[in-house]
Amino acid sequence: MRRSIQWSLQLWHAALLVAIVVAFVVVGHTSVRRMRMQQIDAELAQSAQTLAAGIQPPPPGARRSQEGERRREPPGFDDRDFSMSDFDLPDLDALDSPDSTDRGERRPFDRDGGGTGRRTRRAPFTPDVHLPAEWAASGGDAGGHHYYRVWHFENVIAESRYAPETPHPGVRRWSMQAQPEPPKIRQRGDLREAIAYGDFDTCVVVGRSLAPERAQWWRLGLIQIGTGAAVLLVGLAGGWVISRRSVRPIRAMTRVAENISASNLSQRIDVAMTQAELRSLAVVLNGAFDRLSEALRRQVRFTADASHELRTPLSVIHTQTQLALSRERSAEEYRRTIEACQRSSTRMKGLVESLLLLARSDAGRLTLELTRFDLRVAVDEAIGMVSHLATERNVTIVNDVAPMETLADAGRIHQLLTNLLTNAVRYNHSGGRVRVFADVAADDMTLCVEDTGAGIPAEHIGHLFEPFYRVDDDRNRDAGGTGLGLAICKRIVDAHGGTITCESRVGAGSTFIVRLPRDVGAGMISRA
Amino acid sequence: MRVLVIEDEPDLLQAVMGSLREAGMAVDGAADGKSGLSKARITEYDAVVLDLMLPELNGMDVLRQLRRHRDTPVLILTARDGLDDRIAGLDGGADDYLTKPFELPELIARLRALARRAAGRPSPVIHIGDIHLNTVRRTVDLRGQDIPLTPTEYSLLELLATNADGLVSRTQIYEHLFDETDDRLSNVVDVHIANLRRKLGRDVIKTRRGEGYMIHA
Repeated sequence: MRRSIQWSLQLWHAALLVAIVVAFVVVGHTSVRRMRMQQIDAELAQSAQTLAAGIQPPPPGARRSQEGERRREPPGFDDRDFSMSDFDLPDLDALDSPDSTDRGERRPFDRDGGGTGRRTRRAPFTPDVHLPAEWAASGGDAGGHHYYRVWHFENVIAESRYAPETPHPGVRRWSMQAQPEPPKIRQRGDLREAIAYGDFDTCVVVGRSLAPERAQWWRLGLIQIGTGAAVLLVGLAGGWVISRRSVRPIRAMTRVAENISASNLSQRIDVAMTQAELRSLAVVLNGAFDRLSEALRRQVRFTADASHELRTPLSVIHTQTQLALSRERSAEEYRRTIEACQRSSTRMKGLVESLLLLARSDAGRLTLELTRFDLRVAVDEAIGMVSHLATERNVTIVNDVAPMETLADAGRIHQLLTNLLTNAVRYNHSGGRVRVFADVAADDMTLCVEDTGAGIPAEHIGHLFEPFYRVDDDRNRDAGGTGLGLAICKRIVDAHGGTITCESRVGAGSTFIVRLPRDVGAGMISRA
Repeated sequence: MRVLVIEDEPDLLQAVMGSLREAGMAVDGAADGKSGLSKARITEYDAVVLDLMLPELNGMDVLRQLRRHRDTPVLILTARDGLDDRIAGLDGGADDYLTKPFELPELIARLRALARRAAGRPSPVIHIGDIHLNTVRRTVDLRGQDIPLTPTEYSLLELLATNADGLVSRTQIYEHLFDETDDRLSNVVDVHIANLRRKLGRDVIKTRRGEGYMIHA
């Protein structure tokens, strides 16, 4: 099957739609994730800063007693509840890494030892971790995925999980100026952590598991994919309908074009029905159909006319011979029959030759044999051919052509002149006059045949050179002719690269003007 | 039976007229539409053969104008064989349509058929008592016996038989039996009537003195 417009439209539409939907899903999903991550990071950073800002030295009285304690539990911290493994918290070894290079000794230490400077510096006291009031209130509620841990050198001095519902510790309450450095954010497995440094070489890590977000994003992704698929399906269906609608006028035009045949050339595409883009195509097609119809009509008429012209002499021969052979005839009767047959066959011969010339000319195979001859002599010869008719009609023919050498097909020019002169004599009144004259210009010459006949009404002049065209519908047998004379004249002049026109005034006479290029050879080559 | 042929091709006109004459018809010819129409209007023809493309007056115009005055059967004989032309011709008032080239026997048969139909007598055989006329073979037999008749005698008998029980005037006889070129003496009809009576019996043809002749069926 050849590619149909509808299918290629549909394919392009589908490809575009898929690209748009995928882009929407990907961009949407990514931006949602990024926004959420930024939100999480901001929360964590704020929490870390808050926590770091809340680190203070213990009250002087408690300082001694607290010395040596490995850790101070923040209020509400329940050790038993807290297990890092709950959210698969990996080793905090990696806490080293962000700081080892740029922060020197102010680094968080490994929980289980192995840290380089663990024993080198001994803390004189353990700082107090002041939790914000809201944290303190719900610090024990360890249902969330959030956690914090505070180191003082290698010791964890506070750690807990806290619920995400817990209001954020107060930027409002603790000054951020204590922590000029923004907390560092790092990703550790599925955990997101913010690291901040407090006074007294403390390090605060606030983190949370991204597991709930991941689950949420996964759900979001599924919903997005599902919605995208639905949008895609609706879009494809809509595209199919639209492409179908858009090719409908094409289908309609095709149907009309299919229905148009030689026997039914009257049908036309309804231009009003089609859209602007197709309207011009419809107009062009209708124009082509019009020309085709006109050509066919002419062809049919030409064939009918030609067969009609052939039928008349043929029926003479047929009837004459039938009558002659129906019984014994006298020699005189046979002679008359044969003479009638000869007249008819001569007429048929002339007609067939004319038709052949027309056919050859229409096929572009009217070849010219160019010779040099004197135009005045050629006119004289043609006048000689019609002198009998002219005498019969009492018409005078005057040759006003000056002797001039001409390059053309002498035989065809003779035929042209004879046809024009025959018409000029035939359609002249008794005592009328025919004048032939020529005019030579630089690159062409004009030959005119002027008569004093009845003239031709203007509406007929355009059709004069059509085969079998007759000015009067009634055939004037008295005038004779086959109706091909002027059509042949036109073909001959065309073959020479010239033009033939007619100027006429009703009642005053007609002039047939033949313009031939001086350089006939060149004109002919350009035609070939 | 008298026929008018309107045809502008002289060789064809001559051949058609010749063959119709040989078929026993009285034939007139016209070479153009105008003279054809005037002849058809003046004379009561049994049939008219009409070409369509005629000088002076188009065949269809001849037909149209003729139909205003006469019901003469018209056969169009033309080279125009298109369906539209045939329909236009028949709808224009023609009774038959034949295209060129044509067969002469067909033309003759069609003209006879047209004349029979116009007379309201579609059968080609006419029965007058014991006399049978075969209008196709132009023969007459009396009680099974062939009666040899001259063409004129047969035509006269056919004319009277066609108008059986009706009076046929001498003018009518002249109109239907002789063409325009005939200039025979007026008593030639009496001679033919006498001959027919001699061959078929005295009582077959009745004479209405000063009016004409008639045959009783």
